[in-house]
Amino acid sequence: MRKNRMLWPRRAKIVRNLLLSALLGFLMWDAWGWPAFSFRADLRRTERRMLLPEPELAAEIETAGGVPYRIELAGDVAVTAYPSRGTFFTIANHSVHRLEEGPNLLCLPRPVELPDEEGQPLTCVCYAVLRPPKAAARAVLALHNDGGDFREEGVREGDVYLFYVRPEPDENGRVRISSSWFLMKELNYELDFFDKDGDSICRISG
Amino acid sequence: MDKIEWLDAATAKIRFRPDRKAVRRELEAHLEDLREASGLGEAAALGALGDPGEIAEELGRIHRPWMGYLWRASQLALIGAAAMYCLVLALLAARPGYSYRALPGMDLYNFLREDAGTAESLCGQPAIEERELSAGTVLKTGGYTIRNGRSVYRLVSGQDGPQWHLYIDLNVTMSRWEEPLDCWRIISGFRTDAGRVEKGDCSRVSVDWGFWQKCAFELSDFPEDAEWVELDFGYGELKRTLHIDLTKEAEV
Amino acid sequence: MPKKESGSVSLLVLALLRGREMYGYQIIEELDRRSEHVFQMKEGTLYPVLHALEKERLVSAREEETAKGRTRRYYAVTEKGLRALEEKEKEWLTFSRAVTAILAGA
Repeated sequence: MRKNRMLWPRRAKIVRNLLLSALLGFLMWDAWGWPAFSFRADLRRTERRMLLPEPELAAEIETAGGVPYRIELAGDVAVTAYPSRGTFFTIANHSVHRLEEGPNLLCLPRPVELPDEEGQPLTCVCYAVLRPPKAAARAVLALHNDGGDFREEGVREGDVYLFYVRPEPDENGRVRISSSWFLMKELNYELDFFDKDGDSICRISG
Repeated sequence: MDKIEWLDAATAKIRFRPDRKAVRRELEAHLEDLREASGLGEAAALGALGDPGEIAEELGRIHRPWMGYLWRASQLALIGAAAMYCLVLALLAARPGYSYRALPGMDLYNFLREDAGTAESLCGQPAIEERELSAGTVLKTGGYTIRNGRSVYRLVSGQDGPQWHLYIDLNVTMSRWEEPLDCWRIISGFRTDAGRVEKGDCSRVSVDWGFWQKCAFELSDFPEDAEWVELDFGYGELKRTLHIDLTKEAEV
Repeated sequence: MPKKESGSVSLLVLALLRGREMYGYQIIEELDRRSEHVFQMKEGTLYPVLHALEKERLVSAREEETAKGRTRRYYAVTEKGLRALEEKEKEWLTFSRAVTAILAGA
């Protein structure tokens, strides 16, 4: 039996193999649903699909465990997002808020873990105020819900005030956070802004 | 020295094994051709071939291994990629809610079907009267080009009597190979010269592949005498509007 | 093999392959026959020359299995090889004319 085969140059075989591997890689990525390769890339893609332009970072919260919570602002739309690990890729869990005139209070839809003085993680619910009054030097949030009454001083980060409200642990030392903390429409609060002389600028309640 | 020893010695400096075996085969074939043609014994034929050490040095200089290693690496990459692809397909098939649409090529097939993502696929029942409108304008925003394809007015009998429904076709071209535009979600409102139309909920369909997407909506109980409709994409200062002229009929 | 000698063998191999494709043993036989036994080299030393030519893409190779199950590697000259051969021939002719002229004048 005669077998006659042309010998491909080795270089061509290497190129062919690498191209086929790249093609298979592309087909895998396509079959899996075109996952983005990082938290920021996934978040940007989500914003693109909502026709939002390149947003500016309003605030970034570093939590215990190094999970960054981002609050981004694109025109009249605020997007809050945190990374969450999927099977192979990290996706951006996001929520979108349409902003109105004046200060807007919104709640980050997931508890945030912040390190306390001893470095132990403390579970907090984080509220953010976007577009505070320009003259505001201080903001105070008073919150009333099934966890009790809370009064928190706002931490200013850029143009955003952040409030970290810590629910009290129960008798077993467990922290229970019901959904009423996160539903803005049902939230019972007073938000006060003070200027640098300590005079009240305005109050917003819900 | 016998044949095996001679061949081993002559190819000793070729480090990449497949190359060493190939050259060995060639030398062995030459040896056999020589013995057949000349009738020489093994020792004499090996002597005629020359000093294996010298030949090994020359061959070792020529047959550098790194191209061979690179070739092996590319083969492993290809085998690995093929294995991973099979694994990915198996994982997808094992997911709950898996449908045949996830098969490779199926989404392209669905996209290329004639009535895919168009008003035709939304029209459930036959129409009493139908008016096809010509293609509308184009909206370019955020890396997407949204084009109004042909739209159709259809008079359909309903529970409260005959009603006009407006079917809008949109063709979207994306600048990136990724998830398509969630058109319905980002349409913040409809306006016509006959007043504002509530967005409500409506029948809609969308198919996509690669850089292209086709979607269609059915706007029920739409004012039949409206001259235009505007679709608002986005919110607030980022709103963009697609204007659709409802007076121009489609050319036959 | 010293480089100068292998250079001349390359020239001869390319010239032989210009006619038709051949495998290693055929090349040795042709060299011997056409040179009327002047060029009789150690046969194994042909292969480094052939493989070097193949690496420089002056020749290309294909494998064929004979009826007896022997794998033969046939070498053929490439376009690049033909151009290189022409250049080497010109160099050789210039050199040999110069030598002949000196010998004639002596």
